[in-house]
Amino acid sequence: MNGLANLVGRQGVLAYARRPLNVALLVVVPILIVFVWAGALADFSKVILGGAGDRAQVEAATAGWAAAALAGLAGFFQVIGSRSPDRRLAAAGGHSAPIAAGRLGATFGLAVLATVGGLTALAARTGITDPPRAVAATGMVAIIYLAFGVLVGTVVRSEMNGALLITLLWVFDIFLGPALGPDSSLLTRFFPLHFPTLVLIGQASGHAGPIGDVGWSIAWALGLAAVATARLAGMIRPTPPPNTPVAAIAAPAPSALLRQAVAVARSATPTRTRPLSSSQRWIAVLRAGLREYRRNLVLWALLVVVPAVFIGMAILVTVDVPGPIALVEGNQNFVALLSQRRMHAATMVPITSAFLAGIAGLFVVTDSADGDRRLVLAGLRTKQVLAGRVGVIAAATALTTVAAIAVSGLWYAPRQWLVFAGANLLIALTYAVIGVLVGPITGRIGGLYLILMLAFIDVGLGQSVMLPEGPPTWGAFLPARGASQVMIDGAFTAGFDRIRALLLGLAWLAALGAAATAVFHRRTRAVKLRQNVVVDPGIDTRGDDQ
Amino acid sequence: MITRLEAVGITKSYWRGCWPRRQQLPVLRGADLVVGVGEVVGLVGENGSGKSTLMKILVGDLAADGGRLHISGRMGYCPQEPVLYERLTCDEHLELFGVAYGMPYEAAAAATEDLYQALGFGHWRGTRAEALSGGSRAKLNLALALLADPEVLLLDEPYAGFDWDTYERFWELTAARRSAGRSVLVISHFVADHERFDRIVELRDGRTGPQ
Repeated sequence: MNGLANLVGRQGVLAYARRPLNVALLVVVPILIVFVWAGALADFSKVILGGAGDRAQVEAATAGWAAAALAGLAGFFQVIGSRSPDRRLAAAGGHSAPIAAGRLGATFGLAVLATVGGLTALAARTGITDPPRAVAATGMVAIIYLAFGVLVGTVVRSEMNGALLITLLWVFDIFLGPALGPDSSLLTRFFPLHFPTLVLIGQASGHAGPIGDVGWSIAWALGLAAVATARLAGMIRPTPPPNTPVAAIAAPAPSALLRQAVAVARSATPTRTRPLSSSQRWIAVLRAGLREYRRNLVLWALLVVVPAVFIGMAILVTVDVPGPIALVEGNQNFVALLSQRRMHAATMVPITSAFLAGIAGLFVVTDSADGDRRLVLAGLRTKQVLAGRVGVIAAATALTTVAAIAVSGLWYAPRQWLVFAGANLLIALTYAVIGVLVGPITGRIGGLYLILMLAFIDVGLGQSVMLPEGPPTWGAFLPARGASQVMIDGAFTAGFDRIRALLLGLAWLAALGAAATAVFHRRTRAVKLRQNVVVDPGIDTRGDDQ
Repeated sequence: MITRLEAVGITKSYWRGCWPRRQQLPVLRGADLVVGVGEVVGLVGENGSGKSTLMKILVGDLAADGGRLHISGRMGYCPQEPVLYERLTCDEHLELFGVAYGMPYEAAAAATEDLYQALGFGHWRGTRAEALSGGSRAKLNLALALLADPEVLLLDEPYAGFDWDTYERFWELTAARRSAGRSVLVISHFVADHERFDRIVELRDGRTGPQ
């Protein structure tokens, strides 16, 4: 029994290490969060969220956040990837306990790896002032997210939906947590990382009661670990066989089979004289794509609920004090003092819709890749398939942008609705195209994190008008610069003055769109015309656009 | 013999490993294949012999390194693993592929009804692919290849997911297609019913020859 547990545990860690993306994330995530994000997050905390903005505290917390991201995803993929083999293994041997123990051992090993990754990055950047506290708190953070990842893995069937769920909780936990915010919101105290983050940064909450911040942190870690363990054991345990007799089901007789088969041959013959038009074909792809998308309820919820919650909570936690912002009106540059909360309400719209539209682009092209290739082999042109997919992505992008604008607009109406909405749609479309571009190259999970990071670095930091010095210079080289300037113009001024910025945004969209089209075409097209191949169908099978 | 499909000297290699340990792995070393009008041909070979590679080249899913290929008429392709849109129903799949084949809606609808009856899965027509059993997914996979009544039908390990009833239906359907002058190429690692084929070709060491 112990041998089986050891074997399952060891092989679980090996399976994790054999996935190149996992190894890459183990290195990239701590570097990115601890080295690259820490300073920007400290500024973000001080200026926007009204937090202390203590760089040392934020840096200490980043080690835990890196460990949480790594452990949550590792636990999730460990469980979802081994669900069926583990059940089969349990059914073969009749014991689920050693398999569950082995799987938990593997996930714990991954939590240790995640902890070491986060702490190593922190030690390299700033050094660790209180090693026992840092190790213990980072470990608790890792276990909490590991357990959450395992829990999601036992419930959610789709890799993409599960990974997205973990990512969103992580985003909420970080950006609304006590290391960045003022810790005044009652709601954020119920987030899993609330107390462990306070332990990590060495700050007392003052509302932990008799068991203290450390006690609550341990309770979160042990409680979630217990629930995850119970769920995992229940998932692996084989279902007892039914003992009720089942009546035999008579197979239908293939009596008229030959006649029907010949009828198939005959019924198809007249099709050769009346090919469908190109527009009929891409509209059919669009209709099928919308049907498919409509049935993915998790995505619909994400597109509508996330903007509402994310933007609503961001507005609520922002300190409402005046802040300077550079504007242009009638070709005159000037600095105005505006409510920080109002500025945050406007700037959260493109961040949210860019991320969600990017995810929509990514999901649509990766989910339908194999089927689209078969459609092309069956006779559709690549551009007809692409047109249908673009329609689906555009619909999802419009929906999430409208939801984000509506939430923000309910709090603070923009001065120019049309310009504000158009600029946000431009940013969202740009990121949807980025999703289409990276999906075939990085795959779904790699693409998810690339879009998350890019949306945050570009739209969240690179174009932020709320930072003390305004948008950083390096942000000018990122895709959202032009459209963000138009968005600010639409939100806070009465007239449109950003023609050049609009052209810059459109140029980014066109360039990325061309690149995405090339990648899609390369991945989807049939290759027979590149060879020394002669196809003589004797009929027009590709529509009337030739 | 009037040929529907003629492949001559098809070569294909894969590259494995990273530089400087990158190695060329030849899979097809000049494979030849001819399928005549109204012929049912089997292509057999051991696992890893390159059968699926040759099939992908024939249908245009993979580029060959060399060789010549001539196909006369429309081709239908049934991949080994069902390639389906998980959240579309059987009806919606057949409607979409009818459009891809360029069939008018009425003709596609008529062919769809015939295929439901011929393969016996019409009661699942409103069910999404993600909820179908393995056998029904295999039937839908086959129906998508048959929908436009292609002159040449290429099937990659077609009966892996079939039950006995579907297996029988499949061969009756194949016999009917042969009678109607349609050609069928079945690729499989294992052929049990030799009498059902007109010819069986074996792929060995990247080259084809009679079994």
